[in-house]
Amino acid sequence: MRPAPFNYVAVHSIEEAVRYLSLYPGSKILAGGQSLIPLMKLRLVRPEYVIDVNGLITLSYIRASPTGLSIGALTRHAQVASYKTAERGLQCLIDSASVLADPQVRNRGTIGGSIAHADPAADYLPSLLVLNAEVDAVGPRGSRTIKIGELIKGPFETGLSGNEVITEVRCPKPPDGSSSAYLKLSKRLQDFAIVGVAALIVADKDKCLEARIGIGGAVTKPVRAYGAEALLADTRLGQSQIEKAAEKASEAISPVSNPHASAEYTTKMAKVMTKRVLMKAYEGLRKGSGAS
Amino acid sequence: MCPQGLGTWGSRAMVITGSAIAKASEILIDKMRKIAAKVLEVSEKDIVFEGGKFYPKGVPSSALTIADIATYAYVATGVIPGGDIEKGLQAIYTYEPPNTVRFDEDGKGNFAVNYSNATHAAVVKVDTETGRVEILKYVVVDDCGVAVNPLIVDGQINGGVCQGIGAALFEEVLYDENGQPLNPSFMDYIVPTIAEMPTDFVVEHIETPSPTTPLGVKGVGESGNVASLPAVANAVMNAIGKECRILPLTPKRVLWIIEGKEVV
Repeated sequence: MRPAPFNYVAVHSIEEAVRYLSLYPGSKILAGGQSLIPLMKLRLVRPEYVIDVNGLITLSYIRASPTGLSIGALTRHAQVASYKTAERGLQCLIDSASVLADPQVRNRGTIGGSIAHADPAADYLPSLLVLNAEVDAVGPRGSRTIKIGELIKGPFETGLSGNEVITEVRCPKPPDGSSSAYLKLSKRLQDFAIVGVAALIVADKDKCLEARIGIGGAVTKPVRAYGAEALLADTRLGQSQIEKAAEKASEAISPVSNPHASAEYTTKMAKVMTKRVLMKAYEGLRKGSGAS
Repeated sequence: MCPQGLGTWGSRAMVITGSAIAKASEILIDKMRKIAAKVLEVSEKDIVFEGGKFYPKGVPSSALTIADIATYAYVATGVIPGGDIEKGLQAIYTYEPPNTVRFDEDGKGNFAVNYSNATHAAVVKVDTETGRVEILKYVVVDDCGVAVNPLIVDGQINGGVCQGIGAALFEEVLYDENGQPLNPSFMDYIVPTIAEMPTDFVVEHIETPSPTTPLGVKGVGESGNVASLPAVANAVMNAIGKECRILPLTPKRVLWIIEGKEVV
């Protein structure tokens, strides 16, 4: 289908984008367009203005600092996927960008666009949740910072008002001794996740100091599995402990049945994938200590 | 090229169209032989047609190409010694397969001219925790009779196997209890992509000419897809040691079969 008629403007500053959003309510920001354009073609979205921010190249960057990682909202998934870091705690974010959709989508889609779209199956969200990421958004009254867990309200729903634009995502530096990973289960390799799980483990040798688990997919919204995290904190890491935590983690999600995955299957897979991603993060930890 | 036909179903394209083209080509060659005989001023029966060229027996140096003859036939008919030839190079041949059984009063018939063969083997890996099936290796040996264009035969097998893998593992039209289709577009109706195809994929050919068609062809359209469903499904059954009586073998179904649950 073709989109409903719309106006197009390419803006030269974030302020200009915010001005258009304020003047024409219901208008949409065009970043990578990988979610917006299909939705427009299905006429689920009929923006009065499509506000193209692709000219704002200063919003495309990945910067590491002693306090963490800053990623410009217009950074493409492929750039995040190819980011090199010795920081194992950030690996989940790179994993997410690497398995997200297909190469064409990864070359166009942006991290800011993915977050703003708030698809519960988006691969970034579980990883951003375990990294305690924050998002900067600019609106008519200036900039504000929102924690990712507070930003994502529900399926395709964020705490942003209609005239706010995401400008930056920040992941605080993970604690020393961190290792993280993200794994997804999808129908085909390039499909949306039935279940996508991110895990971050902070450990001193085999003793787990802290664990964080984020689960997305065919669910109402991506969540942290705090109950499972508590089962791992201050324990000796190992297969049996990880299996217990995975069982608990699957209780944290609110699965949504879809034609390709029943709630029963999704819940079961949340357990399997949590176990696997914890094992992967745990193995990353052992590799990390072996190398240093 | 082909003015009237019933379509390309039933592995019939090369069998029916190919046979008609072969027969029409024979008529055209006769026409061209006549023109060559007049131009070269020799008897028609002394013209040899070989390698796309016409020449008097024993004198290949004075050969005429098909393009040369086409020039005489279309634009230079006046310069042919003795003139008087049928202009243009066209031929129509209607091929009626010899062993077609037309519909009887019960509506039964058999339009298969002959049958091609293919044997498929699949090696799969089943993730017993998620039910996902991965095809590790796939081998097809087919016999389509004479392979007129081997590259197209390979392509037909490749595409057919992809279609069969789709039917075995992914493709399904889903309805809710009111008959509303649940996956009416390619966003939800899952077909395999290149990422779902086996990376180790071997296609070999045996060419046993068919005695029932002029070119010895048997058709190849169905050699790729028909056997791929049982090949993949049997491999999954062999891997998990349980019977699978329903397709497609989606991850959920495979997992439920492994766990002995009722599968719908």
